[in-house]
Amino acid sequence: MTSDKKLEEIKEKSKETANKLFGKKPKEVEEELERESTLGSPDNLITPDNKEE
Amino acid sequence: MKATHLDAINRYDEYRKTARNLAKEDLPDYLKKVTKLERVDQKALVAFKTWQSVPERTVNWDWNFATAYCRRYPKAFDLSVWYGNTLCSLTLGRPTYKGTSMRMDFIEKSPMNCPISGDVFAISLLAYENYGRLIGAEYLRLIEPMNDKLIKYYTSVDVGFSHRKAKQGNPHYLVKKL
Repeated sequence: MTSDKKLEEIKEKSKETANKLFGKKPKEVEEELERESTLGSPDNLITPDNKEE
Repeated sequence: MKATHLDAINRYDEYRKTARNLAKEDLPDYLKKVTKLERVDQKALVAFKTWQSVPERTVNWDWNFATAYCRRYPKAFDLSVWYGNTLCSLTLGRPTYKGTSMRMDFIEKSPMNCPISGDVFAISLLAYENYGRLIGAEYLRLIEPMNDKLIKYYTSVDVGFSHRKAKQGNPHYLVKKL
């Protein structure tokens, strides 16, 4: 399991990310996020992996 | 099933739970009180059935494979986002081959009215970032991002993604250092 120190770092970064993601957005971005219903595709799971990544 | 595979399922299940719990904890108050982050389990699949007959639904993806997928690929990350007892979105992704990046491969939002509809992509992103960090990935990839306006937003300084063009049969994606 993750060490306590690493978990604390992850918690901090999670807070930072949340502040950015849920901060005020331009109106047109809010409208797009409301309107879009999907992202990606199940086909992405069957695309062969790059074995170097 | 081999003991090592079962061990991996259980180990990564802990990471998945932690990633969802941390994301829930950091939601703004207006979301935290009403939002639940869970697995794509039987309860989610029962709720998903109601989506399948909605004329407004834009895809015909069948999420019933998600549970089996996560047992086959123990490092995959499944996520359902709920507003109370209303299923708002389903998400699935897995790390790259060597685990250097976590991928958010696809999301579907409820085709019915969901009061937090504008927030579900962000909720999923937050949980995926947490999971990526927990499993030691260096990057988060958002595979086949949405339209140009949203790509522009996600690549803005605040959000911090870069755009990578499609290459050798692989779709384009947004990537962010974790």
